[in-house]
Amino acid sequence: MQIEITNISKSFDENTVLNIPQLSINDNELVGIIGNNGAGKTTLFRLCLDLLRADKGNIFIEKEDVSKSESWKTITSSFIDERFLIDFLTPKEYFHFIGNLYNIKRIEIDDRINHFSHLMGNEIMQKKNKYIGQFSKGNKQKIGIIGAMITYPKLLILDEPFNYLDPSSQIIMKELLQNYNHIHGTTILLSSHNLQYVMDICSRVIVLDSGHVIYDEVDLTKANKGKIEQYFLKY
Amino acid sequence: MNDILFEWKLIIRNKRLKQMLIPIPFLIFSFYAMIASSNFIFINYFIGRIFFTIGLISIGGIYYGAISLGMSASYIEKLVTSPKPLSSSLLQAKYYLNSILSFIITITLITIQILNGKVESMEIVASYLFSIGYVYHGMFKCTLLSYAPIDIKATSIYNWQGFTLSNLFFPALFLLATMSIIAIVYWLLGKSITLIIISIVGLCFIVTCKLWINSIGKEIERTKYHRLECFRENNY
Repeated sequence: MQIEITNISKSFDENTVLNIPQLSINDNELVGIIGNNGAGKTTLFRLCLDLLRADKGNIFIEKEDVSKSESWKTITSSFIDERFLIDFLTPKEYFHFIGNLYNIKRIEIDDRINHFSHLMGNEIMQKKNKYIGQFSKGNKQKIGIIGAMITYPKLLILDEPFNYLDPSSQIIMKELLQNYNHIHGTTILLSSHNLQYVMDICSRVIVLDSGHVIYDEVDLTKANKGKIEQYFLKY
Repeated sequence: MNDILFEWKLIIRNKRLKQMLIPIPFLIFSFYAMIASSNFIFINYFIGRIFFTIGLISIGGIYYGAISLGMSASYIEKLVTSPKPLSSSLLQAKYYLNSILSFIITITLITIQILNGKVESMEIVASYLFSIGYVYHGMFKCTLLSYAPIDIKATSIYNWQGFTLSNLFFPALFLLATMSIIAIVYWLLGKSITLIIISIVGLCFIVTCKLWINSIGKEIERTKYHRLECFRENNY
């Protein structure tokens, strides 16, 4: 699964929030995008998912321009924020709904849910009649991420997957993302404010600042990690 | 069928949408009271009766006009990033669900007429066909004109964030224009021909429902950037 970003630019009220001349994401990569608030991480993801119209430039997923094609949607899954959830469904109903969108049978979804039971924990697994809207932010986050992962996509886009999670769930999430990337060969694009977690699990780290790519490190040696940490210390 | 059940769950589990269903039994009771009373002038006139019946039967469509996109607005980003096109089964499920609700209202109205000994069921059948065909088509089209549908996440009917006048104005304008045309047809051609015409018009829109629902879905897709921006601005 390849992503090609060429000459992409997006402005809001004449403020340029993203400007990337060229960026390629390769097959099976686990890419972490880090940056301070307003760096352009979520905007980049929204452009990748065709939720925003770029002012100029193109984004290609498997050589398909996301703004002109629909075929990339069958191999892409994502969780950006709570707008991806349906408050009046139970978690299981929500997973079935997603299965329906991706033409996956209920029995298959039920089987796949079990693979995520460790992350879901007792609260989600046991309170089967509780609606998503009634869960805490952390549990909503888990449901949204599992909803994205349950389709076994070739490309997974997660915005701030560690947000709102308790410490145990953060550790489970780290392992889950790494294993998922290895087992399914999924290209994972995630953003986070947690520098350490991203550097622990990702095979490549991209630093965004004011919409520009500052660092793009594949070789995450101690020296390179230190360089990235130093960059954020300047603020 | 799964999609219809899904839509029904969203309605019945939402406090606001449930509150919006409450007036329906009241309106049906009003209809009963009106036809039970032969002194009620309004209901003795064909046009008055047909206006009231169409309004009552198509109330599901009126709800649709106000809330249909609102129902989807809270999870629209999931929908537009998923492979299943918005134009296919989910929009159709909304249409079928509203048609079923209208059918229940229709059967209730016919039963009321039979109980009152005033069997003019043709009026109600014609109104049903016209409502779920032509009127629903119009209501669905009206939703395209509103970029900020109501927020279904709000738990009170008094908190209608995002509700704009366009949610009411365009459906009201459409219904007024429709009723005026029916009145003119009745004035020119009489009651029987009017009933036949509205039945045929309704049937045509019912038979072609997949076509026009798909075209509405495509229009929503075409304008999705603007719609998504409006949803975000309204904190959906």
